[in-house]
Amino acid sequence: MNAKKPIFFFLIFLLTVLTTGCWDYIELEDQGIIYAVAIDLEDVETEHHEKEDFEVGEEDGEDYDEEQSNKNEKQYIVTVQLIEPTAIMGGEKGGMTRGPSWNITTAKANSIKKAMEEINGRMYREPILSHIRVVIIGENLAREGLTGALDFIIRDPHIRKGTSVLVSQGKAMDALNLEHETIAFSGRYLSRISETSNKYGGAAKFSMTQLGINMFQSKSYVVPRITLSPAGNEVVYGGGAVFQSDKMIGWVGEREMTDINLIKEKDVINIPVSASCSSEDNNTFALRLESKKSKYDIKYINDQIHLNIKMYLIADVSEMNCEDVDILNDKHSKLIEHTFSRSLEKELTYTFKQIQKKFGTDLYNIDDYTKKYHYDIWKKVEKDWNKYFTELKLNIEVLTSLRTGGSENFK
Amino acid sequence: MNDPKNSITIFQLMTILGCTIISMSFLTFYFITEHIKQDALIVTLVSIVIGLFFTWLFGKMLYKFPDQTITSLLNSAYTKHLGALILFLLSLYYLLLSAFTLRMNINFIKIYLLQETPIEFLILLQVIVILYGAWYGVSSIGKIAEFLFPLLTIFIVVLLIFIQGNIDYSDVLPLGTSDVNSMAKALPYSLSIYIGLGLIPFFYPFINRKRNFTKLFLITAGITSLIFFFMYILTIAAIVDELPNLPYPIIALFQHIEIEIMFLERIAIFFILIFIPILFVFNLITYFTTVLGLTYLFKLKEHTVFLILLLPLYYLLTIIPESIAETFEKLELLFFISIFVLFLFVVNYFVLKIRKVKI
Repeated sequence: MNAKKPIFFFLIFLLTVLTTGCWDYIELEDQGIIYAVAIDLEDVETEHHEKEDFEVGEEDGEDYDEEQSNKNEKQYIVTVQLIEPTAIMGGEKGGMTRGPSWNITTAKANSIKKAMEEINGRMYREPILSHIRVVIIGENLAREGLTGALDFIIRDPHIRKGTSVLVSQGKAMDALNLEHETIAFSGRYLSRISETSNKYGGAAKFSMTQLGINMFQSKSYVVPRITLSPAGNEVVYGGGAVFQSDKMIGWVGEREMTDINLIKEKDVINIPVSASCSSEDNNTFALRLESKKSKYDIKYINDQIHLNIKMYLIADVSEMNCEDVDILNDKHSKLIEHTFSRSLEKELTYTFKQIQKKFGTDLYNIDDYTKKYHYDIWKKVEKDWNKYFTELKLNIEVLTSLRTGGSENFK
Repeated sequence: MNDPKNSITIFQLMTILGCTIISMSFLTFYFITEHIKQDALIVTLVSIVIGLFFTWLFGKMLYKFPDQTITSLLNSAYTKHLGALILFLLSLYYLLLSAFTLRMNINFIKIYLLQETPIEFLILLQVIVILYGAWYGVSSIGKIAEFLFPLLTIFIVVLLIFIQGNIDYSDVLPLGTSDVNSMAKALPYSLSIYIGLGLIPFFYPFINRKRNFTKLFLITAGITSLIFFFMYILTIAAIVDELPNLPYPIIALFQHIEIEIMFLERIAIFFILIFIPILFVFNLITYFTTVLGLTYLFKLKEHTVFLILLLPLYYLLTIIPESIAETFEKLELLFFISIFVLFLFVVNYFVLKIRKVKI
């Protein structure tokens, strides 16, 4: 018997099974590619249903009506941005002369799945969720809690786990209606801005995976914020929404977000940080961080956690407005390093205390560090972590080394 | 069955063993990490050591009793009637294992690829392909494993190397924090990865030139163990906190990682390409083992009789679980039983050795 023949047919069979599906077959032109989703929450009292709407006995119908009318169900407003691939062929900005490259559809229902089904019915296309690149959550929904709303999105195996999550200050659907000159459609604009912002000192992308992990573990975290400009043609990407478990508990500004990331994240580079020249000189200078290494030391003394952070920074001078400073002079350079280090220490400590005071919840992932490297301490404080975090004593020491100072050296 | 054309090479047998180890490592990971998270690595390391010891014993046993079928091996150690009963139970075990792992495979296809296609139809197609794959006997199964195993293993290793930059290895900490009871509970599931060793006595008689292959067994089990252990480390490092929520953790590892290169952007798709065939080969091998066991038991000359007769039962067994939860429940029990299957052969070896049986 020639054994090659059965292998050949076996593989053909296998491929046939895996690559075809009569039931799952969707014509290319029937596929509705969804690029961005915005979810808002609206509290509405369920309308009183007419008896004749239900095919149940009169008595049962009355009971059901009464029950329904007393219910105050959550209503999700789901807005999706559908893109027309043929219309945007030939570049992000351009597109061919086939009309608009995208459209917005909105539906309201008591579950995301239901809303999606409604959208499906309206757009006469099968929604393809695997291309979703950004999910925007409205402030009202964020404050109410995300678990019910995002379960569908997290559960769906086709939606990319790396999809960006943003919280909109105000309504999320407004962000999708944004028209921006440089990019073909708002979904693309928002996903790009969240992916690249950290290169310019903004918040790093927050993915669906991160959201899922933090939510399921009831942790505290910060999701990047977008705010629509009053003219409605631009989005300000900065700061973030502070979450405890699945509920938003407040906002942090851009500066605070950078400070949190400086302590929390391992790879914080390219961040521009500025400081005052001295107490007498009100001018400022700015450094661009090239690399960061931190050493953490946690101690548990008298029922209190003491955290010592030693931060080693390597930076370049980006801007120097201080009087009589020559960065090619070693003495001056050391002075700048010292001034910057002390300034950053003060700022990080101040922000840390503000977070402790304002939110009382760990946005720095110190719990993770304690669990990983000081498990004995973690077992003592695990159950009442927020209390221990609020009372945590932080000591930050920053050591900065300047590397380069640009191509010109103005004294 | 002594047809010289119906034989396999030692390399093919090793790839069959490799396929079963890799497949089982995919299937059992959920059960290992269910309660112990990071400490799954410690448990797996212990089970690798025990598994390699079992591999060494199997190699020794087959070297000492080279020309024996599974029937004569069991009969010599446990008497004729008990031996027959054990062989029957073993065949039944492999049938159940094959059916429920096939169901898991189908569930996976249904979730990730063909959501609208009825599950009955998917099972039917797979069963037909299994029938076709097993029809030409052990040689075609050997060839399939020989072709797919190296290809898929290399593919897995390449993918694992690709995702290195996205992994924070410090997330495997803290280690050693689970209590001993929980770790002991996870150990049988981890050991069941080596259930493929129990298939070797069924396939070994088909090897023509027999020598001492113990070293080869150890190398195969060692390399595949290294690969899946590496995969476990990466999975735990990447998604440890989500593990209890993920029925297919290894797939989730690749889903959670995005590589910023256009053609590899959705790396999970590449992994699914590997995952399905390798599980499918496992279903094929275990089903064929059942057929072989019953063919030996009833002393038939052709394996095709049971190959066809068992198919309706195989289909029904696969369709029995009503939900993914029921499939997992049944698999959990089967994986647990697997340690008894492995110990059965270990006992077999020692009984034969103590009795100094010459068969």
